[in-house]
Amino acid sequence: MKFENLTVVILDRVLIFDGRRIEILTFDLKHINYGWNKINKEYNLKKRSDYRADDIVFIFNLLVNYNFKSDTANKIEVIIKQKHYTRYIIYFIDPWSAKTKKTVIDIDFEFNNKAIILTIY
Amino acid sequence: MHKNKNLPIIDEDEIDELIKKGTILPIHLPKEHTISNIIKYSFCAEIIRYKVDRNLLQSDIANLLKINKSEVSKLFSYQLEAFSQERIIGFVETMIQQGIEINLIELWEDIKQRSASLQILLNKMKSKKHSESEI
Repeated sequence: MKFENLTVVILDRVLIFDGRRIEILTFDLKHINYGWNKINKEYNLKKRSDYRADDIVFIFNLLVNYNFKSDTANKIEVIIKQKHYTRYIIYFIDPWSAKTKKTVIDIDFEFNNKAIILTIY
Repeated sequence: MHKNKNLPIIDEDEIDELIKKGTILPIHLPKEHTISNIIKYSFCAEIIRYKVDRNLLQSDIANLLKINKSEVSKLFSYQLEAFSQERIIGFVETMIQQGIEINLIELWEDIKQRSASLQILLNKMKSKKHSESEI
């Protein structure tokens, strides 16, 4: 993820994700569509998906449409540079390709109303 | 220039490893987006809420609902394809019969709202596909 490529979307209504009131969605579309090469610390060269910003918002809307309460096993706590996040992994069927995909979502402890869509693959 | 200092780091291989090891139990969304699935998810969430609120073990839930370990694991990762709607509602009925308080009015109200919202979402998707095919 690159800070300069982050998209910040203020949702048109509050969405409840595991009991948290999410108002802001953040993601790096290039990271989602290309993936990340951890050795070169750069995006991959080959495109793997063709999502647009409104597709990501649509997917998030779709998944929060299902009421879920997480068990402790469904999430992990992640600390990055003293910042705490709760991380979730969700399997879903991509509505456009009909393929099973995973999305990784972090919820910031400090800004509880912000969800970060880290990746979809 | 901006630094990437405080951005969460994501390593997809590491995520796959965590799933493989069972460190995290991913949540599964249904294959088909239907009102029936909204009902299943909402009732399943009530079972998990009870377990979390009371700090119980999955095995306690398995004993309460008289289901086996593998079924309870499916419930807790929302792999609900294996369960009929009647069966999941039956689990919650069992809980109510055991004296566990569940606000059914609130639950059904929430299901009504989610079902309406799902219809809007699916219509949006259809009209988007339609307009794209017209171009």
